[in-house]
Amino acid sequence: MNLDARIPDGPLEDKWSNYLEHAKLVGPNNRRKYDIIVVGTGLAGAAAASSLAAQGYKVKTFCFQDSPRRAHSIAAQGGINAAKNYREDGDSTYRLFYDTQKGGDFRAREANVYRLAQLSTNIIDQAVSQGVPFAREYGGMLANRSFGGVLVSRTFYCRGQTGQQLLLGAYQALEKEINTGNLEMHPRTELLDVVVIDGRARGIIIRDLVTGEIRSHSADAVVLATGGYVSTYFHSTNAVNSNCTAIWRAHRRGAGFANPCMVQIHPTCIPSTADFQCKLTLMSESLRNDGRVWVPRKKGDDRHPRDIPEEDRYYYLEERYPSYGNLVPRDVASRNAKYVCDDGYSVLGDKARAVYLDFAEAINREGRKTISERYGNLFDMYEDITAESPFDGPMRIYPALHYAMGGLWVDYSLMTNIPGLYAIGEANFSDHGANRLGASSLMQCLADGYFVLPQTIGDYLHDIYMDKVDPDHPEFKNHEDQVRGDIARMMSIKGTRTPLSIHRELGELMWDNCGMARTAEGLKKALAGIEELQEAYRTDLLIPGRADGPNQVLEKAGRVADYLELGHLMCRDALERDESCGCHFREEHQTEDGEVLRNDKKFQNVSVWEWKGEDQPEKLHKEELVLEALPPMTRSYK
Amino acid sequence: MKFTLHIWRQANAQSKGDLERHEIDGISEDMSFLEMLDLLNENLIADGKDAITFDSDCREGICGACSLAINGRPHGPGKGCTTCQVRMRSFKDGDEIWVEPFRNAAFPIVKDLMVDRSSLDRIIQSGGFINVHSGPKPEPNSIPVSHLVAEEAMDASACIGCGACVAACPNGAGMLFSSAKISHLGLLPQGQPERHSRVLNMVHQMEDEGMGACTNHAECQDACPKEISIAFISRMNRDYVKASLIEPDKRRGTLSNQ
Amino acid sequence: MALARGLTTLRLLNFYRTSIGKKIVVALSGAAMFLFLIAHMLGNLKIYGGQGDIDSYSHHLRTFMEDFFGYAGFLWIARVGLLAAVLLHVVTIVLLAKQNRRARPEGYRHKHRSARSIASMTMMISGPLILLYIIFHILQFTTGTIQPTPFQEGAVYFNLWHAFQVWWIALIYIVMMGFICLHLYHGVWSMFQSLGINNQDRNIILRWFSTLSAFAIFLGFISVPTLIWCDLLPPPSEEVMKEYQVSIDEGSVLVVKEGGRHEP
Repeated sequence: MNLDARIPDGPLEDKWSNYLEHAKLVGPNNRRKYDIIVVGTGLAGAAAASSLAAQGYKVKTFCFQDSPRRAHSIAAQGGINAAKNYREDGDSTYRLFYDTQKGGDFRAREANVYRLAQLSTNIIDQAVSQGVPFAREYGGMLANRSFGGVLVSRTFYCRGQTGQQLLLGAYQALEKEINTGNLEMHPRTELLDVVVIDGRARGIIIRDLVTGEIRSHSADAVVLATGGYVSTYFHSTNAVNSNCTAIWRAHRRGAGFANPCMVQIHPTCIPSTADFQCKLTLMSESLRNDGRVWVPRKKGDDRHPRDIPEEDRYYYLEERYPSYGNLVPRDVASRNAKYVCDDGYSVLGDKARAVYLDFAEAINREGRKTISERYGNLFDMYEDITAESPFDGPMRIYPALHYAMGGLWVDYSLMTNIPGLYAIGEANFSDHGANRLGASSLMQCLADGYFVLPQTIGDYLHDIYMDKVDPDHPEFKNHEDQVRGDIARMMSIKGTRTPLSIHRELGELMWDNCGMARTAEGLKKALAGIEELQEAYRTDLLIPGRADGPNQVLEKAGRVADYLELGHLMCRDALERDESCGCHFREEHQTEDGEVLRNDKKFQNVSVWEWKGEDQPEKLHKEELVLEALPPMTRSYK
Repeated sequence: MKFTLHIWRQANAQSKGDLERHEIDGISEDMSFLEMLDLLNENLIADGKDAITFDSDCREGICGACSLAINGRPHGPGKGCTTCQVRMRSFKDGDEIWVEPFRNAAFPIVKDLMVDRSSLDRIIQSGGFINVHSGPKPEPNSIPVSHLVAEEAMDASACIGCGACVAACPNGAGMLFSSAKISHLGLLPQGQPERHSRVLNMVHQMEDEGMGACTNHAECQDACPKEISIAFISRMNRDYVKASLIEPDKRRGTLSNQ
Repeated sequence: MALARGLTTLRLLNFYRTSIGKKIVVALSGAAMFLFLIAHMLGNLKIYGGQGDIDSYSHHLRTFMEDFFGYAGFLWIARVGLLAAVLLHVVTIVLLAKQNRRARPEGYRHKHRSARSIASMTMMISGPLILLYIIFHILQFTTGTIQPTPFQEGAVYFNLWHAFQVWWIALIYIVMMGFICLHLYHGVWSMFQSLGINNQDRNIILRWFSTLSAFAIFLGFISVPTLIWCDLLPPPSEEVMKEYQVSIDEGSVLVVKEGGRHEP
């Protein structure tokens, strides 16, 4: 497997301009001769598709939702980082790079992260000119808030709907290109296979979710922007239909899967209280700006939280991490919530695990109106779900699966190891290492989509000039037949277990053994459990209805097959990475006070897994990380 | 809790649909409405029946995918929430509940409770955007935007495109949806150059989609999960009159003197 | 062809082609009728000045700007204008209603109402009823085509007094004024909304204006039949009528004397 990241020469700050100066280009009147497929229409996909179409390429986009505007990027609440330094509080490109690298616990590629920090400011310019209504101060200037893991105020926001507003900007740009005629949109379609011919990605096989038809689409390059894979855990903050199918099927066709075990747990979610619950709802991390996290000092203290006096409250984050306090990075906040609940301090007692997030002080300090303006919709959302108002008492929160740092391996130009196959946004592994800082995912998706991919794809397309393949190529027919065969096989099992029940069981295994804290023993148990589930899936699956029309159970069944395989790989990766770093916390490797203990000698690298066929174990490759500009240090937020 | 459900079943856009009666028991009041339907589906599958098809995705009220009319009201009981945010505690034990798809000529039914809302996308396509490339831009703070204007634009832009306004309107009008986008972009300085062409194009597209006319019932505002105000409809009307009658149409060209 | 193409480029026609354009036409024609109603009601209230007052007012309408338009010229201009407003209002509403029906081919099985007022829901009932009543009203009091009670052209007080002695004529009149009130309660506010005049600052004022004007018009109109039916107004005097009738026949101008009495 070729894992050459093709990082340009020169000092860190010049690498991107160096790349641009030397990249090969496709001329404006030749661009219309190239077809590019973009799968997924979230922030990264919509931004890339619209930018490529605006440049003049013929772009086809695909999404499983009924409209591109529904992609799960829309659910990002808090904000987007950019090193604008509007507050003159010491921010800079380097500082953003530094925070991201440190936040990621030094498991990301320096050149990518630095480029991300450089491009961050362009994103704000782009979004504002598209009409994204960022919050403004009374003087008319852009407002900022602060987020976990940093000491500056660099997060731009649109109330608690930043992801939605940024996505609408990209979606509108996408719709504009449809109007112009450069872009063809295929909603309600799901990618089921990637077609690789002579070592290059040449197209995709999709299922039309309305008619059930299996169709081929050929192209000169295929871009996957299909998001992350934490739905593997069943209970997560992802949408119920978010899935790993596109990247997993690409992986099965030869794309390397990098750092699959690195998934992030978001500290502030509404806890899971029952089995039937289909998902966990995230409460923006920005709440930690004004909310204080605590549990009662006395176990099982059943007084109303407002009646518990200060001295009986344990503000564990503020006590353990005086300088960052409630704003420690997500992995630290999550793990600490787990510890206090492990010790029996859960504020939901035996029923479920939760800690308090209290706004009483902020409401006293700033007034109910200000807090309501800042977090109104989050408070409403909490009240809708729990029937309790955060104005009357603290929220009950607990960590939940939220984001996948891992993903398809890509080089500096965001191309996977399959030439012509690109992965952008959360679908790739590139920028967040072992942990992502808040408000950085929107930043990465848009940087990839608006600024990186549209400028790197020409370098590849230039080389394959006029070498066309169309959907009549026998390979496409081959792939289509395989896909049809898979569907027919699933439909014919007629067993007793629904895909949902298998998924739920997989989720429990993963959360218990490959969640916030992992042990070799637990991971081995999970591997065995997943293999059993795979067997149940093969022999006892039940799908009602037909395949030649809308069939949501069939869709789910296909995705669950991929979750099972990916879940297995995640556990293997977690087992192989015999260190702790960022969100990957192996209990065998911790400092005396329970912090993450890295092993840089052995694991300062990216694990990249190669698919070897259904009956063979995946093969592990490594991309060594060269960390020169910012050598690894112990990550301390004390 | 126990409920009797009357759920709309329809095989596809062409066939005729009807309500189907289901009983469900063992529902917890903390369950969301869609989780209750998930459970019903699991029961149906176990009985060898076809599951009920309905759209949903984020399940936290922001993606706009869910599109059920519960007891004749888009997104069901409660103000400012989507179907997925409705909890079973909003109903009484033993209630009869009617579940139908969003109804409109512009929303053909795909299957059961799933409808095709691509008409809303086409309205955006016709003009709901600002034309920009991704190259360098002016520094955003060089064009100050008043806090209040930004907030008003954000109120309009909060639209999640679920189509509840169209479904709730007794006339099947798409005014609230279109006016929200027209107002969002029309309020901001960045949206001014295309302001008039935008309102003309979007209004014409909305008409072409076969949506109805506004008679100011305000049902849309009531059903809107983001509580978008019908003041934006008034604003759109104003902009439309200005764009179609007051603003010069042909700005260029010579004038004949005879 | 060329003419057809010429017409399609007419901005006003394009404007009318959209439902928003039509709504503006409905609002403006409604506004004209609303203003007429206010004037009509104020005219009716002249009955409290006595028989001569209202009869002379009616005459004055015919002689208003007589020098310019000729006798009853102004009145006819107003009548044509109003007729145009009514036609535009009705035709446009019919077109809109057809569009609305097409937009919702299949309704909800379970009906639900959240925000609609009784007034807004019944616009399509109150509207046609009002139209029918206007026709009856004109036939009864303007042209005298239908004469269930004694009628003399130009003798407003005489006609009203006799008509409203009959309980069912008074009742129909009052009920129809109720429908007009209902129609205006929604229609006037709706007019501001359709014209794009409404916003968050003005809504409360516009809402109150609509409610109050609807009720004021209702009360103003129904006070006349109520008082007549309750015998609170004196029967028409032959003398005044005669004097007034003569003056019309001679085509002379009335001179208004103090105290509301008139002399040729």
